[in-house]
Amino acid sequence: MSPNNSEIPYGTLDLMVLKTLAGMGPLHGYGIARRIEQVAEGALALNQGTIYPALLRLEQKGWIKSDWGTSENNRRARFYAITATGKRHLSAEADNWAKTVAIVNRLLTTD
Amino acid sequence: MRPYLSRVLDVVLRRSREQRLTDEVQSHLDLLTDEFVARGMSIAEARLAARKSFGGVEQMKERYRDRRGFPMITELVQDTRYAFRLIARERWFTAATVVALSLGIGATTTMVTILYSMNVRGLPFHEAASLVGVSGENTRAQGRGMPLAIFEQWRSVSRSFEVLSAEIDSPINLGDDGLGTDQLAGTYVSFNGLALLRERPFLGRDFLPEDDRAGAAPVAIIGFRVWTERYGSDPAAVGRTVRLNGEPATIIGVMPEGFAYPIDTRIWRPLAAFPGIAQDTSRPVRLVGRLAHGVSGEQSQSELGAIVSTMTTIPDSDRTRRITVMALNETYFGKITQPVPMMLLAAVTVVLLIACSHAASLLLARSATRARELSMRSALGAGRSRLVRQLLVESVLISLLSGIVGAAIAAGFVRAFAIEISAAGLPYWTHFSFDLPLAGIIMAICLATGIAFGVLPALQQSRTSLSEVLNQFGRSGMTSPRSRRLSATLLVAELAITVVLLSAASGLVRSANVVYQADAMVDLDSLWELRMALPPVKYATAGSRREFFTSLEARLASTPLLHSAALAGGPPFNGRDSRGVLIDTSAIPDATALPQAQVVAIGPRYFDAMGLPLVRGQALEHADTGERERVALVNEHFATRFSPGADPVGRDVVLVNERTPGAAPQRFRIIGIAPPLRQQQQTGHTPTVYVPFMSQLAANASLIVRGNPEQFAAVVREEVRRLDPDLPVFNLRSLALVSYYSRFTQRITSLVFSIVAVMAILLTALGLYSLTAYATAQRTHEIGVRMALGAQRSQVTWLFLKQALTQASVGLLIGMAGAVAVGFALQGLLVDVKANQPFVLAGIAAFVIVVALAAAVLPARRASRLDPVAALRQD
Repeated sequence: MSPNNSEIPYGTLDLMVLKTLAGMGPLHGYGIARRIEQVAEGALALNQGTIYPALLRLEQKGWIKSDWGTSENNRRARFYAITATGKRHLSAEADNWAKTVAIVNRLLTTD
Repeated sequence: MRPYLSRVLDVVLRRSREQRLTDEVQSHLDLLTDEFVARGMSIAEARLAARKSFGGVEQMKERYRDRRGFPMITELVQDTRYAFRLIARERWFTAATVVALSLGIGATTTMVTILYSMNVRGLPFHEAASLVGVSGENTRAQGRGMPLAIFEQWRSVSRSFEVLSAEIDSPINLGDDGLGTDQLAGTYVSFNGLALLRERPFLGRDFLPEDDRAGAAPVAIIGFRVWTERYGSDPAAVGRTVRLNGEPATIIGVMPEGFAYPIDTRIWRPLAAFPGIAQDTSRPVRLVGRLAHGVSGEQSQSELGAIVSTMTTIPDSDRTRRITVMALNETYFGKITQPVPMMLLAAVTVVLLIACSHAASLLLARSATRARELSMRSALGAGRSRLVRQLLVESVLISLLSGIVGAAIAAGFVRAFAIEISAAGLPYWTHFSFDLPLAGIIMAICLATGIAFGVLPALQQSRTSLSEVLNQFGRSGMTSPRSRRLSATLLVAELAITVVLLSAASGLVRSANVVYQADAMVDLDSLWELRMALPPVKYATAGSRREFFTSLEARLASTPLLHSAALAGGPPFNGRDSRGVLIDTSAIPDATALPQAQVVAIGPRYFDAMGLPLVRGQALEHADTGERERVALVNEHFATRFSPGADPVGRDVVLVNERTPGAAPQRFRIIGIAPPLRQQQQTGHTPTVYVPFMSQLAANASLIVRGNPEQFAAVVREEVRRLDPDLPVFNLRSLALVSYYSRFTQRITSLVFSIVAVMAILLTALGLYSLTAYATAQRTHEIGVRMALGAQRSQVTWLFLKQALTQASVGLLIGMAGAVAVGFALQGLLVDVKANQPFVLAGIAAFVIVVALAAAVLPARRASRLDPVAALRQD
């Protein structure tokens, strides 16, 4: 890990996972982690293992569901898919996020 | 709701879910490996890279598990199971800790049970919270009671009470033809006095308003035991005509089993049946009330005060007297926040603290053996809070175990106390027993104890890191310097507290002993007190009282068996009559409170009966006939206080009764110095004036008799009956008992402090022993090196003794400072002893050093006997 790789901001991993699942359809943990790394283009320090507690949390809240399936290269893997409530939560949270970012940006750019 | 449901399922399906996690992680790793292989790595390289990219598997799993199920509960179960195993395995450690803690918990539980039973547990009556006692400022004439006239005014005017009832305790002679006559503890109550408590006879009827009027047909309600023992549980006892104090009366009811309100009463009569009550409106009565709905004690108190201040028919002293309304139980025991109960509670809490600190240092000493296990756990993903939790579960479990032993110890102490105090006349509802709320309190004490002694070591031990352990504890069984410092500090604190306790206990014990020794100057066991109270109506004038007492005195003097009997205003050890003192002048200075002295009225032969010769001068009865009621004796304390540098004999003392404003000051010539005899509760060094009995002529009198009551009691009763057939002679008790009860608080305080101090010194010695033993065990290798390099055995012994002595001296120094400070605070409670007596403090210091040495010398000498070769070979 290079020092300029930033940690995942607290609470955003959930959002990233939900967005990934909403955009890509059902994925296994490895696929989700890969996708997030790709989008971040190496700017994020992600231990892939850390997404599992997040997946459990999301599943407990009923925003995603999971089932065993077979990966593209024929390995047994657990696939996660976003649920209807998960989609609702995602759009609400995405709005919130946009607002928060806008506020923080304004604060940072004004002198 | 959903997350909870899911978590519940997690608990149920623990194994399969765990399997799912493992599978999922494995599949993730496989996918990663595939990817790295595809990028051209070897299988082995790819596996490594995959692990690296995934991050710590076990840490992740632990975090994952924390989210799953109810980790707190699952872990608690796990920890408890583990702790049980540990406790069973480390039997000696467990035993040592449990012994220490159970002493502390036992002492605390004892005190908590006693205070809870007396002061906190609710009364057994319906809606007992609104029951109050109404009492006045303590005066000689009324005690804490209120005059009947004020009660009647209150009852008719006050709106604060649903019911207000008056009570008088007085023995009642119950006689039946064929069954003989028994004297029973009796209580005269207003007609609604029993209903006020929401209690009623289970057989027959309660008092009616008509029963409580002058001239009503005489009735009585008897207690359950009288009914079963005297009347064989015969229902026909209700309606039976009996003789009460010689007068015919009807039994109208039987109270339920166990009811003995207020203390041990067996028979109740309406207040109006009390002899002479109708004419005696200043007769003091005890008042009990049930507050009306929504009225507070303060509100009723100010209403009662307002009513009294408008009364015109009562003396000024009654109008300005302070009135207190308090919870019914408090009228018997006072508030729990009084100094003595609080002091005792503080003392036992200190023992508990010492026990905790002792247990904590045992835990710390053991931390060496735990360090490896703990660092292993933390390497396997346990967070610090998880480790602390696990260690706390262990300590709480140990303290609960100690709680069981402690409760058994407490049960013994509480029973002993209950027997000790039973004769003191506690309300009948006070019983010293465990119940659910009390068990809850004790449980809470145990839990708090477990956390208190566990938390420091737990925080300390959980601050472990793998590398530290590997570096520092490569050799087995070394405690970190940090935890050694911590246990040394705890030990120093223990020592300091022990010194304070020893000093406080020694002060209290010496004081109690001084008082006891002083009382034992008279032959307590063969001296007896009997009491009589002249009814105010029949003996309204001083002349009538003089006539009665003069004839009684004449009979005493002429009856051979009663020749060693003397009249007195009251028994010794218990005086209440203190008055302002002027010497040689009758001019009362304005606006300054006069210095007070205790006044005791004594009849002829008083000191002869006591068996005490006068210090000098002559006895009161030997004064010239014309002077006989204007002479007095004073004690030595009086002489030094009021006549410093001059002989008091021959001077005049003027006694001013400030609490009875109308009373004229009385002038007496001092004709002798009385022997030392304690006349007041608690303190023995009060200035005291003995005046002739006939100069006071109070309605209440005591008879002090030397001899065997089996022989003289009947004679006394017969002589009194000849003078007045209606006058009861009651309350026969030995002066040993009078002295005992007047010293009760002192005795209990000094006893508790002694027990506490002994426990403290034991625990401290144990602590010093184990700390030194651990120190030697840890430095075995070093000892081996030293001895191999030529150190003498004595040098090795000294090495460890020095350490123990240093700790003891620091603790002693701090403790001495504390002891002196506490001594100043304690001085007020002590009689004729200095709290900070230098030679006592020196003795305590020497004692503590000797105990410390003794505790340390055993392990230290054991260390010096080590075989250097074996010591060096150790690990």
